Amino acid sequence: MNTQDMKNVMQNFDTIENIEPSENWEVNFQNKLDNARLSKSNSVSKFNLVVLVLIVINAGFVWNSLKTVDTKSEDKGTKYKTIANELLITSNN
Amino acid sequence: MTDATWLQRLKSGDKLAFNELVMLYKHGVINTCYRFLLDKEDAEDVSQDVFIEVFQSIHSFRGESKISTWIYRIAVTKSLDAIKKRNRKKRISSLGKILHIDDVANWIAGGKQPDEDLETSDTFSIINKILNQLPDNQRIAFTLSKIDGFTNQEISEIMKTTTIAVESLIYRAKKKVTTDLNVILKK
Repeated sequence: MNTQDMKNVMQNFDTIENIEPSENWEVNFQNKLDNARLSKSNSVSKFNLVVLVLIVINAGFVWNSLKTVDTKSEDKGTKYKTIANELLITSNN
Repeated sequence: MTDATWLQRLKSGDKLAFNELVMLYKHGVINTCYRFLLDKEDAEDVSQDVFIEVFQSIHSFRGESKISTWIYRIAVTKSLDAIKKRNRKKRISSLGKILHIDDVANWIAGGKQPDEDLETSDTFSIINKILNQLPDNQRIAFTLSKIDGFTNQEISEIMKTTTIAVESLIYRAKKKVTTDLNVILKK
């Protein structure tokens, strides 16, 4: 090894010439960009679908719970009526 | 047109603004990648990925740094990733040769024979070997310092560090490169 070899190697690295993009750079890039756009819109629509499914499930839960509450409140109403009647009977007596 | 207006156009998905951006930074990005990868084909490939990343994450760019700094930061990160991937392929390929399962190793490595395709010349091969031994931050500072137009101030912005730290990294990298070069050329 001599200092000249070392200098040459480093000089080669220092003086690397700039490259020009090849002719098909633009075409390849556009293809990649189109794919990226497509996958982006696909992922957006998938996300929308997931959100929609979640909304439907949630709405189902809400509707179901409302229905249960309604029945329960009906039950409570009947019970209150019975109690009230009984109380009335008691007080009449 | 100010940077802010341009950024707003980019964020709103203006195709013309994006094309302007690509035209403006294409040359710089390709050559930055080339300095890291020392292979034209790889540099072109990575530079395309850089602009795809810019396209995909322009919404998250908050404008705290210059847009050029942000783009070159992506270019540096992508180039380092590509180098790591390439080194991994090389290791798999070497392992395949040792175990005499070249075909399988080549298939795992992604089809190419890195030793043949990636080392374009002896000099580049030596430089690659030396730079691969540098820690990432030293490699980035050292390589960017060799590119015309990058001042230490700009390198520090790209690396999100101080100018003094960049100077120190370049100094340490140069020292290590000289030592390693000595060892390699002695063999």
